[in-house]
Amino acid sequence: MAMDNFDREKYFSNRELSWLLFNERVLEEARDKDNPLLERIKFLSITASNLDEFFMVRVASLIDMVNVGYNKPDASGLRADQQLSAISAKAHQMINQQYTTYNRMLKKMLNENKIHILDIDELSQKQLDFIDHYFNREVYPVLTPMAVDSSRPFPLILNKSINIAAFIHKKDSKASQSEFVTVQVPNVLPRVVKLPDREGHTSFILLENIIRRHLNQLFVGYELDEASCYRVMRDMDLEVDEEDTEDLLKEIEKQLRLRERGNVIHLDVEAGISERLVTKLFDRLSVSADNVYRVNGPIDLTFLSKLAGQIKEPGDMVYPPHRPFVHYELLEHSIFHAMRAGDIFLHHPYESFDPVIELIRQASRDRHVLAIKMTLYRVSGNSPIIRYLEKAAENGKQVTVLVELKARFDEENNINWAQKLEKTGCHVIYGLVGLKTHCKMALVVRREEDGIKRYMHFGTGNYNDITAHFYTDMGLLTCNEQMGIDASNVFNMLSGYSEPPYFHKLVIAPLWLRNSLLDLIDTEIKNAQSGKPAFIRAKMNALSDEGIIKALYRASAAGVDIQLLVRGICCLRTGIPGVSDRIEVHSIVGRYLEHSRIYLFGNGGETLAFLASADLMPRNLNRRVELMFPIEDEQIKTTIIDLFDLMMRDNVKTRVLGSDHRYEKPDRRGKIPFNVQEHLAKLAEQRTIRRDHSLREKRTFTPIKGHTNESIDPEDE
Amino acid sequence: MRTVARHKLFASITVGLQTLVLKIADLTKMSIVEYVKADVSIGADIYNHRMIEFQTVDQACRQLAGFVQILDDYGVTNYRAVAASSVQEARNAEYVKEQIRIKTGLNVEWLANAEERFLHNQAVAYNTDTFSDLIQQGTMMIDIGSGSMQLTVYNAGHFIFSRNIKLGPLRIRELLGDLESKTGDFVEIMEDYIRSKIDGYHQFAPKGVAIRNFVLVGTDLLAFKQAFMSGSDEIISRQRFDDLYQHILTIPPQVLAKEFTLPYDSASQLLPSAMILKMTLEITGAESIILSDADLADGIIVHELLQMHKNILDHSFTEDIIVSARNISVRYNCDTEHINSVENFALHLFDRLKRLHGLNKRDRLLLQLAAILQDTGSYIDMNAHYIHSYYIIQSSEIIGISENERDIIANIARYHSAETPSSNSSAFRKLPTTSRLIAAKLAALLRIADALDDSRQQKVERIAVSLKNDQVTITARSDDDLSLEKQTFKEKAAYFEEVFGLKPILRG
Repeated sequence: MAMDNFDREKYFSNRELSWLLFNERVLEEARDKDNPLLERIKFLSITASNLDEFFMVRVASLIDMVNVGYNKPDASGLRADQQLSAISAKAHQMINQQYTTYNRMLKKMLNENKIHILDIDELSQKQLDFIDHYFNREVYPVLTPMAVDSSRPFPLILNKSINIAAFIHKKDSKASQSEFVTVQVPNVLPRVVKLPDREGHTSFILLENIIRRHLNQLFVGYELDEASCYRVMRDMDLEVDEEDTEDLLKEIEKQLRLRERGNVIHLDVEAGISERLVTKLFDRLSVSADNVYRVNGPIDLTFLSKLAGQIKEPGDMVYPPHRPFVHYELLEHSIFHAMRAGDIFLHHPYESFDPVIELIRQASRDRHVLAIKMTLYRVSGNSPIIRYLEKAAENGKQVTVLVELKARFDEENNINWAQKLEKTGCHVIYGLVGLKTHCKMALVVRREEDGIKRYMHFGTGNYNDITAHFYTDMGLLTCNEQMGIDASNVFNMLSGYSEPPYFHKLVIAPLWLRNSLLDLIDTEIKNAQSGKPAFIRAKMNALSDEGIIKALYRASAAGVDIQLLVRGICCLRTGIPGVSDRIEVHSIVGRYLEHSRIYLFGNGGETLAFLASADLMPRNLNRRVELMFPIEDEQIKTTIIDLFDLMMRDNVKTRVLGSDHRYEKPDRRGKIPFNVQEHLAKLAEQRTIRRDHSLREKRTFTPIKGHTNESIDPEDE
Repeated sequence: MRTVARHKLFASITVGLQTLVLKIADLTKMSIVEYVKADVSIGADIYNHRMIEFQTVDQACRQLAGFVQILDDYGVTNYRAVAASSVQEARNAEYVKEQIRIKTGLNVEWLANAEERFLHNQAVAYNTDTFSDLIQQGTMMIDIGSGSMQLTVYNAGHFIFSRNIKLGPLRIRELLGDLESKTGDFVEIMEDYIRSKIDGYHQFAPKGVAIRNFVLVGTDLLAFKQAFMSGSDEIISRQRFDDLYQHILTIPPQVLAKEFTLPYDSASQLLPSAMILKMTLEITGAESIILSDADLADGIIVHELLQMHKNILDHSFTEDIIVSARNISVRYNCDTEHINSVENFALHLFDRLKRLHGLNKRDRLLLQLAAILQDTGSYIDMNAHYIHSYYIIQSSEIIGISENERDIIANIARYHSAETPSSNSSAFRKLPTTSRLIAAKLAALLRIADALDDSRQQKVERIAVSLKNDQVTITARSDDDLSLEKQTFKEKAAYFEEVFGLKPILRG
C-alpha cells in the first residue's frame, strides 16, 4: 500500500454522478417536513433549475465528447458514453422523485393551506370567465401557431421554451387525416396566472393550460384531436464548458466549427402524451430515447419559485426572518480608521454586508483616496457598489473595475452596467483571455501622512448585496502592507501586465494556488510521519481535482486527520482502507447556500488559516484567477476555527459521505439536534440585542462629550 | 483641517528590449510602492528587422498608457522615463519615441550605454548590503542585458574599469536562431561566437587584479533564478552552476520551459545567458555567483535619491567616473603629473570664478574629466594633439556620462589648446546651444590652466585667484623662472577674454 499512487479508478467518484447526489440532497430539503412549506416549494424549484443547467452545460458537453469520438475515461474510469447512460438512469429517477414530491406531498399541502394549482376542469365558472377574458386580451395576440407538413418544415423550437404539440383535422374530414401543429407558450407572459378565488384562498393556473383550452380558436375550421406540452433543451448557445480538460477543449472547438450546433439533447413530455404524438416529436426533433423524460405533472417545475413569490402574507410557510448583525461602528465612523486599528472579519449572512459597501462608499468621497480597484462578477444590476463606484469616478478618483463577462447565463446583465461604469469615467477591464476572473477583491489606495496606504477587502463570495443575504460567505477587511502590494500586483496582472516574481502573502491561481496547496498538504504529511500532530480541515463547494484528491489520500495514508465540508460535488471517496480512512466528508445543505471556502492546516501546532474564492476543481486551479488569503490575526483565526468546529458539529442539515458513497444524515439518537446555520443566526441576533443594551446603558450614564473632536477628524466629512 | 504632508512619490519608467518597467517609489520612506512589468518584443524586432514593428510599438504604447493610468492611481506627477541604449539601435527609434509621446504623453529620454550601466551599478550597490565590503577584493560585475553585456571591475574599494560587449542572450538567439535547425553542433557554434566576442576582454583586462567576487545583475534574471537558484537564496556556488550548466546544455528549450516553469521565450535565452556567464566566470577566480535583481528602474530611483542629497551610498560613484577617465588617460600614456597640476589649476579657477561663469557642480565634473583626458590625442600625434583627443574621447566610454556630456568633454579637449570654436566648426556645431556655451567657458578655463604648466615641469606650486573690479588676477607661487608660462599665458588668455569679456592677468 505504501507504493500506491492513489490513482485507481475505484478511488474516485464521477463528478456528474456526484453532482446528481448533491441535487438529491437539495430535493431532500423539499421533502423535509421540518422545513416551512413555501421553502420546500422553492427547494423543489431549485432542483429543477439546477437540473436544467446541468443538462445544458454538463450533459451537452458529454454529448459533444461522444460526438467527436473522445473516449478517454475520467478518473473513475467512465467514458463519456458510459457517463451519459448512468446520468440518464439517475436523472430519470430524480425527475420521477421530483414529481412524486410535487404531486403527493407539496401540492396536497398547498391545498391544505388554501393554495391551489388548478387544472381547467377544476375551475369555477367565474374563474373560467376570467381565463377566457385573459386569453382573448393578453395571450391570443402573441401566439404563433405553426402547422407542419411537407411544405412547411418543423419550426425551430426555442431552447427551454414550453410548447404545445397537437393533432388537428379538418372538421369535415376523418380524424385519421390529422395534421401536426405546434404552438409556443409565449415566454413574455408570466407562466403562473393568479385566479380570482374565494376569500382566504389563492388559486393559480398555468399559462399552457389556458392556451390548451383555447387551442381550437387558433385553428379555425379544424377540430382538435389531442394536445400535449413538451420542452426541448439544445446544445446551441453555450460555449464549451471550461470544466473539461485542455486537450478536449481544443478538440471540441475544432469539431464544433465543422458541425452545426443546436441538436436537441433533452426532451420533456407530459406523461399522458399519446404514442402517436410522441413518435412524431421523436422524429422531428431527432432525439434519442435516453434523453426523453415523461413527467407526471407540469413540465418545468421552476414555476414553483415564482408561485411562492406571489403568496401574500406567507406567515409560517416561510423561514422566520433573521436579522444580521450590523457593524454600526464601521458605518458611523471612518472605516479606514477602524481598519488601521486591526483586521476585521465578516461572516455573511449572519453579519451584514454593509461594511463592504461602506468601504466603497467612504472611499468614493474621502478626499485622501486616490484610487479604487475591484473585481465584479455576478453583481446585482442596481447594486449600491456600482452606484458608489460611479460616484467615486465623478469625484475624480481613479476607478478600475474588472468585470467578468463570462459568468454563466447573465452576460447581458453584466454588459449593461459595465458600459454605464465606463461612461462615468471608470476604467473597465474585461479580464484575461482564457482565464475567468473569480477572485473577489477590492483595493482602495489612500494618500496619508506617512505615505501611500492600501485598504483591501478579500472575500469568498461575489460583491452581490442580494445574494449576501442567503449565501454563507466570509470576508476580511485589512490594510496589511504586504497584502496590499500583492493586491496591487493582482490588479496589474489582470490588466495584462506580467505577473510579479512572487507574492508576499496572497496565493493566486492559476499560477501558484495548486502548488501552494500541495506544499501545505506535504507539510502535514511530513509532520504526521515525524509523529507531530497533523490535520487538514477544509470547506468548499466542490472537490473534484484529481491531483489534490490524490494528495489528500497520501496525507490520510500518512496519518493526517482530514475533515472536509464539501457542499456539492465530491469525487473523493471516504473509508477506503489505507487510502482514505482518515478522511471525513460532511455536506451541509440548508436554508443558506454554503459558499465560504476555508482551508486550515495543522502546521505542527501553529494552525495556518486561509480563506479563498476557489473550490478544489480543475477549473478553479487551472483556468481561473482565484485568490487564497491568509488569516494572520490570531483572534480572527480562532473565530474561523471555532466556526469550522461548529459546522462539523451540525447534525440537522449535515449529510455524511459514507464508504458506500451515499450521503446519510448522522444518527442523532440521544443527541441534541444542532443546526449550525440557525445557531449562527441566533448568535448574531443575540449579539445585536447585547449591543443595543450596552448602547442604551451607555447613553444613560455617559454624558455626550469627548466625541466632539470627531468632527475635525479629517476622515469625517 | 489638517493637510497631509506629501510624501514625495517618484516614478521611473524604463523601455527595454524585452520589458517595460514601472516602479513608483516613496522617496521619503525610500520604499517601492508599485512595481509593474510588461513584456515587449522590441529586441526581437530589432535583431530581425533592425526596426521596431508597428504592432510592437502599438502594444508598447498601450502598456505605457496603462503605466500612466497607474501613475494617476497614485497621483504621481514626478517621473523619469528612459529607453535603454540598446533600443536606440532601431532605425526608427526616433519615430518610436515621438509615437510614444503622442500616444501616452510620456517623454522618453534616450540613455547612453555608459549612463545606463552607471545607473544600474548604482542600483546594485544600493540593493546589495555588502557592496562596499565586497569591492575591497577584486569584484567583477556582469550585467547581462538582452543585447549587450557590461563588465565592470572593482578592486580595493575602487572602481577599476567598465567595458561594454555587444553580446546578449536575445541577440545571440536571434542571430544564431536560424542555424539551430541547420546544424548538429549548434552548441559549439554558439560557444565559438561567444568566445570570439569575449576574447577582446584580455586587451582591456586590468593587470594584477585577482577577481574573487562575481556579481550577476540583469533585467531578466527571473529565468536564471528559477533554473539555478533554490528558494530565495542570492548566492549560487560555482560547482552547482557548473553542474546545472552541463544539465541544461543537453535539454531543448521547450523541455527547460516545462522543467523550470518558464515561458518559452525566457527558456530559449537561458542557454546563451549561462554560456556567457560560464566563459566570463572562467576569467575570474570567483567561487560563487552573487545575484542582484536591481534593475535600471531602481537605478533611476537611486539617482533621484542622490539628487535629493540623500546619503544613501557609502561608495562614491562620482569617484568611479573620475577613475574611469583616469584609466583612459593611462591607456594613452598621458603625463600623469602634468595632468594632475592642470586638473588642480582648472578646478581652482572654476571654484574661484563661480560668479563669472555661473556653472554648476556637474559642469565642474566635466571640466575635471576634460582636464584628465585633454592630452590623450598625443598618443596618436603630438602635433595638433587636441584634434586626436577629440575623437578618442568621442569613442571612449566613460561610465556615468551621457552622450551629450561626452560631447562637451570632447569639445573642451578639442579647444583647450588652440583655435577658437566657431559655429562653422563641425564638432562644435553638433552640440546643442546651451552645451556650446558650457563647452566654451570650460575650454577657456582649461586653456589658461594648461598654460600654467606649459613647461610640464610643475614649476607653479600653487595659485591664488582673485576676481575684483572686473579683473581676474592669478598669482602663481613658484621658485622657478616662469617666463615660458607667462608668455604662453598671454597667448592663451585671448580666448578667455573672448569668452568672458575680461582679461586675466598672471602675476608671480
